[in-house]
Parts: sequence; C-alpha cells; structure tokens
Amino acid sequence: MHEAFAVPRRQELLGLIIFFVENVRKFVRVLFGLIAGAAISPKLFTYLWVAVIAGVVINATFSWLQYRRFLFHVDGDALRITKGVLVRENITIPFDRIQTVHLHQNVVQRILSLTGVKVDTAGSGKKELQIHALKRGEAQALQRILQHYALADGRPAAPSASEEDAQAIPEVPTAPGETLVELSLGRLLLVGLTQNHIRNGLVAVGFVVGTFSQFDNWVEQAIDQIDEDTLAMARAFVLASVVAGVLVFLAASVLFSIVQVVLRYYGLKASLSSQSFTVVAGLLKRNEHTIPLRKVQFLEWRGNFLRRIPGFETVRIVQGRSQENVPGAMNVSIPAVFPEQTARIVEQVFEGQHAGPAEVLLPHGYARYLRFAFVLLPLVFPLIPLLISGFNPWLVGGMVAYTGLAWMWTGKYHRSVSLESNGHVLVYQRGWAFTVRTVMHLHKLQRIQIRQNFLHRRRGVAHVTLFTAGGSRTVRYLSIDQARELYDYALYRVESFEGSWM
Amino acid sequence: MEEPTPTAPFENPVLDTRDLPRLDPDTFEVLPPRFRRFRLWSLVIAALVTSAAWLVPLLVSFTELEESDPVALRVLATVFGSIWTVLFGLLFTEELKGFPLRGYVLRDKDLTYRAGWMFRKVTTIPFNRIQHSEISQGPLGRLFRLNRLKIYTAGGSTSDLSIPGLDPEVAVRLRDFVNGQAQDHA
Repeated sequence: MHEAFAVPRRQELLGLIIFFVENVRKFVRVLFGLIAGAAISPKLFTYLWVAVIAGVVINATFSWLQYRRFLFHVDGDALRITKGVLVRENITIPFDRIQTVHLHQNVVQRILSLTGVKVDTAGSGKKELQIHALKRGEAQALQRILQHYALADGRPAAPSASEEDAQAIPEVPTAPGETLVELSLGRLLLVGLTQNHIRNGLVAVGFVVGTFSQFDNWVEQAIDQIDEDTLAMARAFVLASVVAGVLVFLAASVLFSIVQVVLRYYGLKASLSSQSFTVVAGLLKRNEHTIPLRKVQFLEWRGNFLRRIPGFETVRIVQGRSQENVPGAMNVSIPAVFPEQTARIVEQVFEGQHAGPAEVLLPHGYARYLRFAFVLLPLVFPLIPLLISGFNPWLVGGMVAYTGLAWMWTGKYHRSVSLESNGHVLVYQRGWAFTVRTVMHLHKLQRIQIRQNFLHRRRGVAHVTLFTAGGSRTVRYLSIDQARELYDYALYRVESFEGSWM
Repeated sequence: MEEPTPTAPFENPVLDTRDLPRLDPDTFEVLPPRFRRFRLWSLVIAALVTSAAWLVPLLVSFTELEESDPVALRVLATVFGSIWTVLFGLLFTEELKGFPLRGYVLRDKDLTYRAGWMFRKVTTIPFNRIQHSEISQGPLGRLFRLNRLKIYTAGGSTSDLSIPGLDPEVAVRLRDFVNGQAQDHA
C-alpha cells in the first residue's frame, strides 16, 4: 500500500475544481464592497463585470498553477510536500511528529466524490497541512500510513531507531472497534434542544453583525436620506421591537442551536477500539477523525441542566496541537454520551488506572466569598438611580432577590468544585448548572505553574495551572499547602514516567 | 473490563506526599545585579518619559498663554500626577521587593523559574517534556550583556518558560545542560 505514494504525485485532476472554488470564495469576499456599491450605483455595475471576468480568469490560472505545483509523496518515514505558486515551499513531516490525521469532505468534495486529508503536527508552531483531493480509498490508505506509528502499538514504541526498514510498515489492522454512539434523528434533535442556547444565540448575533458591518456605509447613506419624522417613528418602533426581539432572540437561538447541531453531528457514528476513537459526522461537510488513544491529551465531559433530564453529556477528546489559539480545531466532540459509554471510554483510555482510592482536594472557603463579591458587582448600576430618586420597592426587591440568588448560586458552584486523583489519573470537576469534568493522565502534563497574588498570599491560597499539549486547565483557590502538594506530586509523576506522552 | 495490569509503568498508586521531593524556596539562584540595574534604569526612563503627562500641563499653567485656563490645567496635572505617582510607586516597590525573589532552580529532572512579588508565578518544566530551547538577546540586552533563555514544550507558543537577565555564559551552560538532560530523558 506504500508504493502508491512512493513517487511525487499530484492530486486527482478534479481537485482543480476544489482549488478554484476556494479561490473564488476568497475573491468574492474581497468583491463584497463592490457588489454592495453596485446595488446603489449603476455606474459601478460595469466595473463589477470587468472585475468578475478578470477575477475568473486570474483565479482559474492561479488554481491551475496551485494544482500543478502541489506534489506530495511518502519518503521513508516522512511525508514530503512541495507546493506554492509565488513562494515555493518544501515541507517534510516525519511520521512520529504527526499528531492527527483526519479525512474531510465538504460539499464540493462530496459532489466530486473526493476526500481531503488534514495533517496536524504538535509543537512546530506551523499550521496544519491539507491535501485536498484524493479518492476515498487512497485517502484512507494515506491516513493509515501516516498514523501507523501511533496505531501500530498501543504502547509507545521507540520510533525510528528500531525500524530501519521503513518500507516494511506493518499492515495495521484498522479494527473498526465497537460502536460507541450512533445518533438517530430523534437523539440528534435532543442534543440540539439541550445546547447552551444563550451562548449560541450570541454567537449568531455576532455572526450577523459581522456580516452586515460590511454594508455599514450603505446603511449610513440610506439613513441620511430619511427625514426626522420618519426617524422618530422608527425609534418608537425600535423600542417596541426590543421586547419582541428578546422573544425572537430566544426562539432564534434554539433554532440556531438545532441547525448547528444538525450540520455538525448529522449521521454521527463514533466507535472505540483498543487503539483509537473513530468519529464520522456532518451533514454538508463530513469529517472522519481517527484518534489514536495515546495521542489523547485529556478528555472533558460537559453537561448542563437541560442535559441532566435525558442524562447525557458531551465528551470532548483533546489532542495535542500546534497552536494554542486555534479554537478546538483538532478537538473532536461526541455528543449524547450516557454514563455507560462514559465508563467504556474511561476504561479504554485510562487502562484501568482510573480506579482505586483517590485523594480529594477542595477549594479554600475564601473562594466562595470572593466569587460572591464578584457577582455582586453589577449591583452598583441600580444603586445609582436608587440614590438619586430615593426608595423604590421594585428596585430594592430586585436587588435583594439578586443577592439571594447570587449567594445560592456561588454556594452551589463552590461545592461543585473538586479535584480528585488516585495518583495516576486526575479528575477535575466543576460547575453546577453547566458542569465540566476534565479527566487526564498526570503524566501527560507538559509543565505546571503556581500563581499567587498578594491578596492570595495573605489568605494562603493559590492557583495551579496544568499545561498539556492540548491546552491548559487552572485549578483555582487551593490552599497553598494543597497547591504545593499537587505541584510536587504532578512533577514527580511526569518525571518518573518512562514512556512517551504521545 | 480488564484488570489493571501489574506490568504498568508505575504501580504504586498511593505515596506519602511528605516524602516527595519539594521545591525548596531557599534554593533559588538569583539573577545578576546587572539585570537589576538594567530593570531599574528601564523603569526610570519609562517614568521620565511618561512624566510629561503631568509636567507639561503644569508648566503650561505657569506661562501667560492666552486661551489657557491655569486652574483646569493644574487640576489635570494633579490627577495625572497622582496616577503617575501611584503607578510608578507600585512598579518600583515591585522591582525592589520582587527582584530578590526572581530566580531559577535547576534540579536533576526539571527547571523552575520564579518571579513576581505582587503577582507571583512559579513555573516548572520537566526535562522529559522539552521540545526545544532558544537563547535570545535584544539590543538593550547586548548593551548590558544579558541573555534570555526560552524553553518550549509541546502545545503551542504559550507553553514555555522564559528566563531573562542571564549572564551569556550562564545562559549557554544552562541551555547545554537542559538540552543534554532533555536528550537523556526523551
């Protein structure tokens, strides 16, 4: 299976279309201003046509060059790629540096029945690499070759040194593994309904505002032409709309959540073998992730008060990544995970090391009062009208109710925070309405940090930040003794661990 | 369900944490006094430059310029001046109190850096997690003969340790030792 990639080769010819579509998309974004202008000024319309024709010609030429110059092959233990039109790039990725390889298909690729391959390396600071257009079988074969170090052996083997003969890559049986989660349509809708709607709604608003801000100039011009009376009426209308808007916002948020979930998780099938997770999902853009278990940096279960009713959570599989700021690009989530599946995941990933008596660390009581004080800060705003206009029972009642709610909420939150470890595996649980549970092997840590400001020092508390190759998590307000204990213990675990962390 | 395998790389789950090696606060290596001078001078220069914010309105208020309101200018100067005083007071206190705390510890298996008086941070990188290291020197660093040692781990650009104000020889020795250890432990 190795021979197919032994000599430098191009992608499938149809890949040309994918390059072209991608270039056109970028081009249209640039043209947006011109299109908006043409809508109000017919004179600009002629320019628009010229720009469109020139754009198509330039894009087609550029895409052709991009396609011709993109060569890749497998050379010994590395993937080599040559590409670039204006700047030529030669890229070599040794197999043992590869963090993740995943297959993906967007709408265009699905129509052309082509599959793309994405490769991400950790620690290099370089962006992920993509091969856009391969036949499905070839893409899968390439994925298998690229991941064979990670999959060949559940245990970290010393790479390179022992394997002189790179051609003799063992044919890894890609055991399909047992099905973990298969989302039916009903389950899919349930996941959609139990999303964090408010957050999704805000994301949607941000998206809409972002898109329409490109028409700002046009809107301003339009408003300038309206007379004052109409404007006054418009203001009254806006005020009336605010109330309706809140309701619409909520409804739209729920709808948006559902659409988002359907797009992302449609036809989700997740399976788990002794070597890897495999997750296939997506309505328009289908992604296929195979994640070797030893590449998993940590797992994170997220639940909320709505999901508590059906009793499931979403688990996020966090892998090492090259850039801290790529938001979850290489993280794979499996929704609708019930306790039974959670138990299976934990059993496979942590190899039974999660069991046994555990020591529990709890945050210092100071944290609760600090959070309470912090939550009370917004009360400053109603305080000002209260001082100006005197006693108002509604306002005072509201403030008292808010204070009570804040006291209860911070108390609930405070009691929900715990850090548990049996010495091998760390379980960091927090959140009451929105629960988060991070589970990691202590030896996966990359570095560790204690932070303490002068106020913390007087109270004898500190934050401990645990850094992994997949991101960091901070445990807040531990007593300084417990923080030091965790610090020393985690270091001992990392330093005495002989195997590889990925 | 599999029983925990006895051949697991570690098999001693419960340890008495009192027996673990502790990071002793007294073992930190302090940075050269030259670095302290460097930081103090930088701060003095920053203070002088920013003092214009209150000095200029104050001076202008004493000139007989038309269209200028000396009282408003003096109020402005007082406000800016007090902010400036508090800010640089804190920064100088931080520098004086914080400098003796700055330092690093090299242990057999890890490297730790500590800094900060008001906001204290202690960071440790185990040698078996180091990806690569780097020594850098800016133009001012060249003037004061000071180097910065940067150590990177996996997981992105923020996941690193950076020790400023090292003697160039010390920086090189530290880097070589760290690289050697990283190779042994890899």
